[in-house]
Amino acid sequence: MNRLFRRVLRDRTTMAGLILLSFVLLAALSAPLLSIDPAEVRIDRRLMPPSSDAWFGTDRLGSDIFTSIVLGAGITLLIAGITVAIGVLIGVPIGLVAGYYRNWFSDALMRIADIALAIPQIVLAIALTQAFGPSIKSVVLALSLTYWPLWARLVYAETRSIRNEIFIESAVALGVPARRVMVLHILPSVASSIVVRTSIGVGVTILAATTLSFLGLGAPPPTPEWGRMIAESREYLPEAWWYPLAPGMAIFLTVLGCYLFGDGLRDILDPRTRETL
Amino acid sequence: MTTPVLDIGDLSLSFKTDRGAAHVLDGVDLSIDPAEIVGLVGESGCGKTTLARAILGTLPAHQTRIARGHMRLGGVDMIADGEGARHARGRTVTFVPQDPLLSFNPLFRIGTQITDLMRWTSPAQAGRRWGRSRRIDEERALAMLAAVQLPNPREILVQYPHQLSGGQCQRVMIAMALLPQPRMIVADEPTAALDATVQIQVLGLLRRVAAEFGVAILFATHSLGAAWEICDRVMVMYAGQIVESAPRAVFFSRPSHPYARQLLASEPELGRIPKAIPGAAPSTASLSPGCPYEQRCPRVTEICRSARPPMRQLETGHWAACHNPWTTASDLAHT
Amino acid sequence: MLLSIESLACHFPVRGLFGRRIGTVRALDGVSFDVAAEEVLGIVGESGCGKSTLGKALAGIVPPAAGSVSLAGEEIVAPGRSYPLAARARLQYIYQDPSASLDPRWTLRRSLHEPLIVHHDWPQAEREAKVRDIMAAIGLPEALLDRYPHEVSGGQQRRIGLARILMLAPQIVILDEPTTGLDVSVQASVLELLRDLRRAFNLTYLIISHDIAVLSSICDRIAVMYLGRIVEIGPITQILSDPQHPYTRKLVASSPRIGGPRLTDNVSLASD
Repeated sequence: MNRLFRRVLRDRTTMAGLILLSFVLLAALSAPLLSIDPAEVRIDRRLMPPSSDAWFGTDRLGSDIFTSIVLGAGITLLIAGITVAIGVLIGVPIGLVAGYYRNWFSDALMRIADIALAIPQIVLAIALTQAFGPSIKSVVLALSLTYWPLWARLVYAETRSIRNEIFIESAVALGVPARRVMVLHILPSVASSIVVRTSIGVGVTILAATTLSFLGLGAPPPTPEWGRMIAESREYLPEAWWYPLAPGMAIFLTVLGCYLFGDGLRDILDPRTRETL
Repeated sequence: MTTPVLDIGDLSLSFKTDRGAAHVLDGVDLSIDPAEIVGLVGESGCGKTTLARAILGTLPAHQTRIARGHMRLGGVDMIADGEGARHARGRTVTFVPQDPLLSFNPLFRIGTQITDLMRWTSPAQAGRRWGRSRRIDEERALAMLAAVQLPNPREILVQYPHQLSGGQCQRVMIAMALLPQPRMIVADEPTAALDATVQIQVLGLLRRVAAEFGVAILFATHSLGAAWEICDRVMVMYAGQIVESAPRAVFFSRPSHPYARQLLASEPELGRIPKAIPGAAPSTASLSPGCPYEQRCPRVTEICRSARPPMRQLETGHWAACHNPWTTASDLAHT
Repeated sequence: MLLSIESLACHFPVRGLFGRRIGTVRALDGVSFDVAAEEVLGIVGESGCGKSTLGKALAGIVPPAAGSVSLAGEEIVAPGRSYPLAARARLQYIYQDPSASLDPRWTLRRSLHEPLIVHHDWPQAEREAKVRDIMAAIGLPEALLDRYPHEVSGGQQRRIGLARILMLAPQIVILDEPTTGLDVSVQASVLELLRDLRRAFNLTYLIISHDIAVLSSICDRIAVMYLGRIVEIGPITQILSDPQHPYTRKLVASSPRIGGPRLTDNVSLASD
């Protein structure tokens, strides 16, 4: 673990991603400490360009956009975090089991994964908002139900290739039960791939989540969700140029941070270049 | 005294590694006469493959440094004369590799690969793909495939590599190595991947090829049995150095270098579990100033640790690099 | 008889378009023989003869199409029967390099504990004691236990790989190509190790190899396989000096003997 830490600190790509993400994390954690109520309406201050009072300007209700961004960070990370967590919890076991047993059951599981991956997220989100109303819950459900196959397919492919390694075959010959082989032998070998995919997956999820919110399928106002803020800003363009800029940059930098971190991690964890960690 | 086809003197090469320079070849003297089969015997890491690659010019240029020595092939200075060396490789000297299936392109038929090779290596027909020259190429290819005892050459030409057996693949490889009419063939463990019954046939083929085509063969192997079968002379390598060189009969009846003796003693035999050599070969990146074998040698003396033994002639044609070599055959029983 | 094999057969389907079964490969085609306790039996043959399939079928890795195998009187292999867990302890199978059976991410200690965890209910302390016993028996220092496979030498890895199967006190060990690809001196050290372990643990060996010279140095009896069948079986000295079956003769005639007449002097060179 120590060695991994040191390699991360030395790698520029990973560090760049980590720095970006730590800003977002900082924002998310500091949100409850701010004493601003996002629902507070200050009509006298609406649509003001960036100034020393409001670093990113104010929105149509007069709320400080900077504060909204900071508050929105927590929401974004929450949505992405829960979605990815569900994806990992569903996808990894399915991938493991399907890759370990090579029979009709594995094929069936992978076909279900294909179907889930093919469902258009927007349509599913619309259907869910009909049932639950536009909310964070709808976004999380729509995304996690369609993204888990990404982890399932990755783990399936890696499990299938590791399954043929001699140390796995000899464990089976020794009588080690399948469950134990999967969890204690195969899973540690695919763990690094899962971590890399998860890191990038968070970025992908954020993009998708903000798109759904942009379409009005996410949390309703006044929840300061980045995607929704961009949607609101449209009717005030091109005069209020600062309005979509802040949330747009926030999304861009957060997703970039995820990708850089994930890519850097992939190079560090590449078994061809690293020693065993 | 015939002029040797290959004449290597004091060849010393080093690789750049992150542990410093690895002296993968150190003071190698080697000469091969026409139609002679010389066995280069040693275990993994001894340098025999490196030597083969040095002759064939396939060592990574930026990592390799030639410290000293000369290498002349058919009169061409392979180290100084870059143009001449490039021309010689593939024509004057050709290669038979260990795993033939990996050397073929799986997507093309055998015939195509053979005629392509001929086009590259026969200057007279270079550049012309269609017309008479192609038919001539095919006729020559068929004749060569028949010469390596393949019973149905026309069928082989249209087949893909994966359709051939290991033995057939290797025969095709040998045919391809003979087509440019080389003066020397470098064979690196050509029979290691083959079944026993096929192995013996291919070895026999190599012997016939040397005799009938007058081609010299450098036969790198870790199998002493194979060396016994076809080599005229045996040279033993250890840690990048040649430690013994002798004619076949002499080598197998009275090897002088302790490593050679212990190597022979570790061959399995009916009813006798062979004696392993204790320890492991040293890394060529960290060699001692003395004899490279001093750590494992049962006959080690004080001078062995400090001074590298030169190659000394023990009898005609029999050389060994050892301060304290075995000198009589009767000692064989005591190894 | 420790191991009795009766008409064992293994068939593999050949699949064509759309995965439809268009034929069968009879990798094992009715093999019968016995293995006596504490003997060393060699199985020799060339590629495709079925010797590897035989080893895997005996170890329960490949299911049989017909026939049966009994270990000390108890049937362990038969079509439709699942391989009993207890048999996996008493009959061990190693493919080529024993060190390849070690999980590269596990410490050596953990790899040695695993067989005991799977087969017995022993508490941690008892398992640890057994691990130490075996380490002492194979002559390796306990300090190695906390290392990873890549941190010890090849020879030590081999010993640990063998130690791992010795944890369960097996009666019979099947070794599939234990010396293939190894240098001659390393091969010798592997054979020495096998001999020492056999004496120390009273093991029975079934050694599968294509190298008849290696088998001749360590085996008591040898069985020759060709196209899924045993064509000849008998004491090693007899098979080598007086082979009966034409394939056995061909095989024996293809093994170079240093100091003897050269086989390539009069080999018929027609291609296979």
